[in-house]
Amino acid sequence: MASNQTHLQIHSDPTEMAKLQAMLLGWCGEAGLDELAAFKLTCAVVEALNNCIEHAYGGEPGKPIDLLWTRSPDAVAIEIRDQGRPMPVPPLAPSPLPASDAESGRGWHIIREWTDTVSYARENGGNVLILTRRLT
Amino acid sequence: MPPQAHVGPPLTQQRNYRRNDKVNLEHRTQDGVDIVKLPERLMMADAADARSSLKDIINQGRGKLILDLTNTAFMDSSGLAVLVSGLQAARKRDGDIYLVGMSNTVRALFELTRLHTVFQIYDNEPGALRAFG
Repeated sequence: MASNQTHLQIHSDPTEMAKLQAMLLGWCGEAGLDELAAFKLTCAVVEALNNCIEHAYGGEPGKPIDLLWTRSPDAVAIEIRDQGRPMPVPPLAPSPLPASDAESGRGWHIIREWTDTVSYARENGGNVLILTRRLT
Repeated sequence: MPPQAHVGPPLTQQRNYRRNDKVNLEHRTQDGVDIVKLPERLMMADAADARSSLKDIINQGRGKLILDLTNTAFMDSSGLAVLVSGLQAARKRDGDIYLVGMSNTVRALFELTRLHTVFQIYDNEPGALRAFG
């Protein structure tokens, strides 16, 4: 089976994440992930998108985020591009957890633990984050 | 699998829940314990309102809360932050927050982030009410 791709352009608006979350769960199901695996991958992607909104764009709404979902026979790749400021370099796995009473700092841990690979680059004045998850 | 839509009567018609207008937090009180039903999703878009609503409930009550996650199919780290913030506010009032009705998927998120060691988690509301004594 050849790979297939879906491209979405969304905006740095948290309310768009709720709609996208439902869509991602559906795509994960179509890729053959079970309910728990679909939840984990969706959560990791949502965290990455939250980072674009919060860190790359500093909470400013209406800025573009491109999401490219590529499904191949043995893996799913999710490429997320924004045009915001450079992100802090993602911590290497295993990403540490914050103190138990901390209100933030869990996003990268979720991304690292619930995907198989994470790569980050700065390209053409924007951030490019690619997450992958094996299907077999 | 897409999230399940709520079916049946509106939740506000069940067990005298009162809807909070800021965000879909439904709240009632039983035996001095505030019981709050969380929405289907608790994500960044709702986090600020949910945090504010939860703190209002904590400050107006005794700081003893049960958060019912029965309807909560998805949560991200912003949602976790709301709960941690509420827990701190409750414990400052010598209270606590117990969680009930957690799905296996949301439980996986709590276990990954080790928050299952911070919150007391019960299968259901009667169990959590008994624990509050």
